[in-house]
Amino acid sequence: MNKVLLIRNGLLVSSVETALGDLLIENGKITQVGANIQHPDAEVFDAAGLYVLPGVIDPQVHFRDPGFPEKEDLYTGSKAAAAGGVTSYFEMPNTKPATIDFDAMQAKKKRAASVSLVNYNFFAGATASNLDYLNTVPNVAGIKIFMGSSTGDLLVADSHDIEKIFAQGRRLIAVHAEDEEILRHNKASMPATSVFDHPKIRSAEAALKATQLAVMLSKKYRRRLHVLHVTSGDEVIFLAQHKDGNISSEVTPQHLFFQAPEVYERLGTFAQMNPPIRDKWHRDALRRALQAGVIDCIATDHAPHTIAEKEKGYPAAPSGMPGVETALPVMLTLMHEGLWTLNQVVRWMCEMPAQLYRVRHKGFLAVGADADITLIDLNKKKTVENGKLQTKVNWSPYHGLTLQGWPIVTIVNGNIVYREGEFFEDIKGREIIIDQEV
Amino acid sequence: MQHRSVLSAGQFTRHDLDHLLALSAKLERDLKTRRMIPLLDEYILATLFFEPSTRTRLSFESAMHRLGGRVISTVGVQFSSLAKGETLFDTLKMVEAYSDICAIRHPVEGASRIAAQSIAIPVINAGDGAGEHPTQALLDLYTIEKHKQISSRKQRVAFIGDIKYGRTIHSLIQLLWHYDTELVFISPEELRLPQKYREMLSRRDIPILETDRIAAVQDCDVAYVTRIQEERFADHREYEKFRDSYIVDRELVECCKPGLIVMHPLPRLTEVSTDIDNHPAAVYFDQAQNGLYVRMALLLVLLEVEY
Repeated sequence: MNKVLLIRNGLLVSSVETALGDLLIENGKITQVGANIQHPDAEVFDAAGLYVLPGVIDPQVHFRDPGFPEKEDLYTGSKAAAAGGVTSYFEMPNTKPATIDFDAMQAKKKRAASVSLVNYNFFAGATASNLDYLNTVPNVAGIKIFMGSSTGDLLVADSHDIEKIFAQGRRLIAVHAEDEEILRHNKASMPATSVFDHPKIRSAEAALKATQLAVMLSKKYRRRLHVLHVTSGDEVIFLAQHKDGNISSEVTPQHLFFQAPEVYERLGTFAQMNPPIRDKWHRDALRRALQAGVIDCIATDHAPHTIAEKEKGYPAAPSGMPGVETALPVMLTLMHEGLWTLNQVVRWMCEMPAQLYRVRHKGFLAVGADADITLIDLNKKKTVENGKLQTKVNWSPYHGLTLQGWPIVTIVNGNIVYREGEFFEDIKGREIIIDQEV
Repeated sequence: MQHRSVLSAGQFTRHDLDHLLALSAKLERDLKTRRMIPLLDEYILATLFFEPSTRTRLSFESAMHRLGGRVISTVGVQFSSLAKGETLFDTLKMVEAYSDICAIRHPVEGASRIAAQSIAIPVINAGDGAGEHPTQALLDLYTIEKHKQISSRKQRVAFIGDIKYGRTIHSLIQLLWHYDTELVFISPEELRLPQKYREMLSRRDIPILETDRIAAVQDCDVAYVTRIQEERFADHREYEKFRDSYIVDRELVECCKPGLIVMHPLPRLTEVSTDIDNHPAAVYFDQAQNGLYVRMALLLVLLEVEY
């Protein structure tokens, strides 16, 4: 903890520049940034040829802890995060018990403090009747509302109940935006015989309708809103027209990378998630929206289910796929394809999540910032293989694909947690501090 | 051109259009180095505007002046003998005696056709009621050709807003069907394309998509935006909802296919946000200026003066 680490000759990356330099880390903080930094007691890490990023923040993961130890837990999930260069995560409340009261939140934080290898915080899950908790539970990422039902039984589908949550309090509200009424109607009226039906049942119309409601409520009550995993060109254009300073949104790497129907041909129900992966028209719209700033950041929606569960066929198989370990390599692979720059990736995966969630002292390589750092080899190629992953479910939708650009070292609060396949587990991550709305 | 008058966008052949576009381009190019191309110094244009339209009238008059011709005009029905009860026919006979060509705008659909049948000089329809506006369609086509080269590359053209009553749209689609194109009509249910035009397009095998989703603009090459007028709606709240749903702004444009151009016949209200005025996609001011070159080309062709 008290050791001094000097990262020498790395290429320090921010959203606006890439510059050769050194970083000095003392007591878990960055204390100097510049050229030729000298320190008599520092352990020197030669980062020549590596890019040095502010630690990646993943603002949407499901680590299934407590309740589903066969899928994931806070230890294995955080280990997968470290291997993926992710130094901080916000975890979702649809666990068992759900994180819908003070005790559940406290238990989660306590458990994370003892097992999580990287920094953590949690969303408070909204129900129709826990407003007091949502607005007073201290230091959480935000309030999560499932407007459409997904994994678990957390759901606030009634628009009056949703409005009540928007009307009281100031804390950020993150929504899973799918309209439950349309989902139910489609489930009742459409065939559900193969996974190809999944994006039809969970239609772009359902996503748009819920996003419209959330945006309308945010404007009515001037409430900070984050639209989780935008998946459709329809939401993109609606957000382009109506987004204001109170509203932000995210997209997952899998919605940027994959497209229907090909992804379902290749992966079947293993590609099934909510909201679903849609066709190329939507995928291209999401890519452009990210470039245009209509979508603000990347989140993985890491949502593991076991291979046995995923093999149940459609519609019995649960929705969700792991991703925290592969998000950065996927975004860097798309960078190599010419879609965007490394600086943009840093903006979307490091700076913006910190800014949007008012995370204190993270997201930037600056003096005084927490020493959460991801060192990457931009050219390293590695083929993703099921069975060789850190996530407990040990499969990936990218199985068999060679991704280019991998994290080499992950540093959390000044401690090396991951280094080229090796983990250093004695020191744990810390609770992420969220600056409250004033 | 077969007719010596311009009455409907539907009258043009592809050959006519190729000629007019080439001539317009030549005039635009030459006017970069010259202020006047005095080929019509022996001719007089009469502009008869029985309803107000500053832009179209000024553009016709400027076109005639740039060609060295003279203009006589009547603006506002209250000053003309029409106010004293003279028939349109009698007015036109006088105009025929005083000028060599006339541009007419009239609130009654078909007025320009009656005019053309009444007099021997060429008549240009400068907009007749809910009917057609063929010179606007020509300048729109010229703008699409100039920015997107529709004569050599397939273009997906989106029309956004009032597809039902938008006469510039009704005229433009009759030109576009001479080209390799796909048309996307984006409007509220209440303002959809009239059946007549749907059938015309289907006879010519032009693929069309009709939707109320503004998101459909994203993979188009051209976004042609028109004003949604409040009087089309019974309910003010409905109007506001649609007005706000069909706004094209900077962020929307940046979410669209690169190279998209945004057109508007002007004047606009809020449907095209001023925040894209300086964006490369915004071509509506250029579009308005193109009216000059296209109308110059038409005057030359109709008066059979070579250039």
